[in-house]
Amino acid sequence: MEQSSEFDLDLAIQHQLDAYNAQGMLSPIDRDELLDHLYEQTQDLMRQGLSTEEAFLISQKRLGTAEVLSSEYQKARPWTRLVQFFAFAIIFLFGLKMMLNLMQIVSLSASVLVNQFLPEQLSLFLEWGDVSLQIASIIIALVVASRLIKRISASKLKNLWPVLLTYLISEIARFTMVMIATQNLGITSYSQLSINLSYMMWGMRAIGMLFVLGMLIRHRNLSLQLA
Amino acid sequence: MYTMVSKDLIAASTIPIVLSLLKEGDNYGYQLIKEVQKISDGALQWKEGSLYPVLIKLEKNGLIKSYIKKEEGRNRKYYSLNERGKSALVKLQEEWKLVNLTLNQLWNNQASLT
Repeated sequence: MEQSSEFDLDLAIQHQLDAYNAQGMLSPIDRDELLDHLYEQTQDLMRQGLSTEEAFLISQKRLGTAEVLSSEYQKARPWTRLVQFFAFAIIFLFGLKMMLNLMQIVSLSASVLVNQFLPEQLSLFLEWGDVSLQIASIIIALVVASRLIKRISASKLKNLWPVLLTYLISEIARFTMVMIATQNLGITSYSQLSINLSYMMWGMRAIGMLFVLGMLIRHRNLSLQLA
Repeated sequence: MYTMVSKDLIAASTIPIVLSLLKEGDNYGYQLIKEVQKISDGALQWKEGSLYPVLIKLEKNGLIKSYIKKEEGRNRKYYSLNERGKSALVKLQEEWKLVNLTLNQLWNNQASLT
């Protein structure tokens, strides 16, 4: 029972900050500011002879409850919630399109490679290999996306330009790949290549959209610091 | 026991007090709270958490600026008064002086009647 009587100030402060940020109103800078406040006040009170735990409890009480603080921050930044929601929506939607672009790039490069080195296997690949590749890449992309989302929120993303720029690059890469594939595979349009896959693609898109929606709902409390 | 200032008055006086303190020099939240307590001898008990959103509002309105300084291994957010803040403070000082003057005259007159 020795350990339970030890009071861990760092942990207590982190928990308290999480409680303050339950509504997602605190930016990383706000968090640092409140953390600094709690540490300083706790140390001040400890110098007056209080134990760490007593000092922390008083500092916490003086700073105010999570509900009060949250609503005060919300009043100071009335548009934050909406801006955050749209920012996340944009990141998710462009992220999804980037994922689909990546999928096409992977699939087309694989087709070109097969055509280059194993031309007799091309029809078989287009029928089976390509589909499995696409499914595999979308699954990988979904897993990566769900891992990345918390990092995106924690990072100090000041605006959405990096997202839009990455998206643009992926769009250019996809277009280039379509051109290469069209020439290399001797087909006149990309749609000829993917005609068998169109239902599949719409299915994937629907799954992707559901994923985006699910993520938005699940992570509605994450804050994104857009200055 | 000293008299505590009511919530409404605290809310009304927070901005002029913050601006006046920042006029003395750049400062951070916790220190501002401590100084107010010291100067008012404990009569002005701010709801500490509410000060930070007030600082956000003041910064948004362009009266103060903030910057981060690394101190004691932590990121400390300092605030400084800018030109707009200084002129806003001058205006606030005039308003408060008027209120002060009016109340003083009323109470002094009353005192002389009794």
